[in-house]
Amino acid sequence: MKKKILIMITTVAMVLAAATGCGSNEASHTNKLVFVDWGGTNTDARVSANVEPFEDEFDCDVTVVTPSDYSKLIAMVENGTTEWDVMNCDAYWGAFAGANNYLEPIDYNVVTEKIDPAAQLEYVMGAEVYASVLAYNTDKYNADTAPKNWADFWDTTKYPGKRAMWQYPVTVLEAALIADGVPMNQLYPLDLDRAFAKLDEIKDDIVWWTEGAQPSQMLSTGETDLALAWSGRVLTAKEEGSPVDLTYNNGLRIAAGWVVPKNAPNKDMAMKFIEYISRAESQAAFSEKIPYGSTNADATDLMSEELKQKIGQTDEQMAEQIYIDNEYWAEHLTEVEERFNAWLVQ
Amino acid sequence: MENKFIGRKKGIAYTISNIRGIKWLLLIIPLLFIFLTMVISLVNIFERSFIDNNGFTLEYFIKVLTEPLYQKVLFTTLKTGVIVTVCTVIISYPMAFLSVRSKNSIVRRFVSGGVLVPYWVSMLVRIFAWQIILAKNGILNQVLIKLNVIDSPLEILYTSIAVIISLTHILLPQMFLSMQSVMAEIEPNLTLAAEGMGAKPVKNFSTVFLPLSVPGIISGCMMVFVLALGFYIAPALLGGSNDMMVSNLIQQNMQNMNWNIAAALSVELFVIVMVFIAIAYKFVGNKLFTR
Repeated sequence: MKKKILIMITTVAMVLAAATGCGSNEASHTNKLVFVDWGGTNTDARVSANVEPFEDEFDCDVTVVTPSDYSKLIAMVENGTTEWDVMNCDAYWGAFAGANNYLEPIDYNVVTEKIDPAAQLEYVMGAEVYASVLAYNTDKYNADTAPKNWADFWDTTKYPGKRAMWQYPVTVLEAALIADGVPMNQLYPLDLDRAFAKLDEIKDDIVWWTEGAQPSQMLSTGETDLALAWSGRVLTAKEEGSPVDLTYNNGLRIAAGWVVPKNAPNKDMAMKFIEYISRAESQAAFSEKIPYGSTNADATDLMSEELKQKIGQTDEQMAEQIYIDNEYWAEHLTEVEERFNAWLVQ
Repeated sequence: MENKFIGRKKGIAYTISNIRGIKWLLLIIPLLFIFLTMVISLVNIFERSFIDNNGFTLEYFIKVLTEPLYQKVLFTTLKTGVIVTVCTVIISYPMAFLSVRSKNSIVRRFVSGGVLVPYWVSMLVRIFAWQIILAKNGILNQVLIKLNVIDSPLEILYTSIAVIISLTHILLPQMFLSMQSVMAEIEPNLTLAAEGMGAKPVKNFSTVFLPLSVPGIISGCMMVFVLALGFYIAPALLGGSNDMMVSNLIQQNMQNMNWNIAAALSVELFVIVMVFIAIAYKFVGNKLFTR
């Protein structure tokens, strides 16, 4: 009888050992880093373009965790169990989390690369860039007939039918103000009353989206003919053959950013990683793989004219776009989102 | 079962059950699990709902209970829960009845299988399927237009109707299983006896079968209603801006580090669910939890 129990215990122990991965040891580098990203094609591109070369250059094993999860980061920091070293997030969220003491400040002694000042913040180092742009269904419109700017987007007589918009105040309120005639360089601080009044005009014509893949899907199935959508997602859908296209005119550029959670176990390595991944060559290599823009202006010089055109980084295209003000959103996101939600369910 | 146990004294299960203290161990492990995963987190949520960095405050509850945004969203959540529950009852009852009482075994199996097979398909896949079916140029609209039932496509996707259809579909098996298990226990001889006494089928059903199946309906309603209240992904992907549910607001508030509001909203939902369970318990007593 005792023997049987012993056998059972040994079996259970072996199964547990196998399940938890004891014994299998792939570690071949001295340093360690836990890297958190959104997952999908985005992360695939980042791993082959940036993470793998980094591992060799810095003698470091990188564990890739997906997806980036804001609530989880906060919970880890609050409970003193931080496991992540560096995470990709929206820069405005990073500024917001940093102001609330959940992040380590970026060590600009290590991170010496210069990137766009709009995306280089105390707690956030800008990474790839996407933009909330005006996208359209190409079966319905071509580059000449499609609306050119947010004022056109608001014109329901000239462009009838539903339009898709992000169910989130960030960039939606900016678009409303631009449509109402506010010059792009005078958007901040946002005139909320004016923005919501403008949104009221087309409230009944809006279909709201919550996930980045939805607008391209809505456009290609004809659910809507127009959308405020993220450029990266639209370009990916277009490459896959969906009847969608976009204009960068009035584009609202959002930088993703690198943040280091408070008390990250490999903080020093995280800073080195941020330095590496912010280099012009790293950003250009990433943009080659997936159609996202870069925050390092030198990266643009390394790109072909065609790629620049695609990701909206020619000089002319840059002149007609604007970076959102991360600091404004860091400070006001909570109250504005509450007002936005209240407006939505009115 | 027990006889089999004693009959095979040397069986491994018998051996294990005779180890000293094993009963307590078997009780303590699940209790500990529940304590660690549920009780501690619940206490933490309760705490956060009325204690913030400045100490005790009712600010968050007052906000959640008085601001129109939160009132409206709570109302939408309850309304959706009630409608979905009623829909699942209406659809499940005849199906559960057929699956238990049909004389044709193929019908019985077909009905049970028809409900259970979709249950095993990932919920996300089912939600995406509804997107395809209900879209403006989707299957439903195309069929209706071909059949000349409608001239222009119906707008269903991204409205409350889409949320209700998909939630009804997703939660139907819960209702069905709950009803089926109770109906299967109803003694067939009772209805036969009523028939023998001269009860007509309608009278027989309404005075014998229906009352006996009520516990199944109520426990099914509880399950579906409670699950519908906490749904997150279907309203986010299929609903419009008017279909924001409490769980969507909780998620947003967590991202924005507004954990106190998120906690207050959670406690609010928790209390509502508890009240409903108490009412159901009052009606059917212990049968609410026996399956």
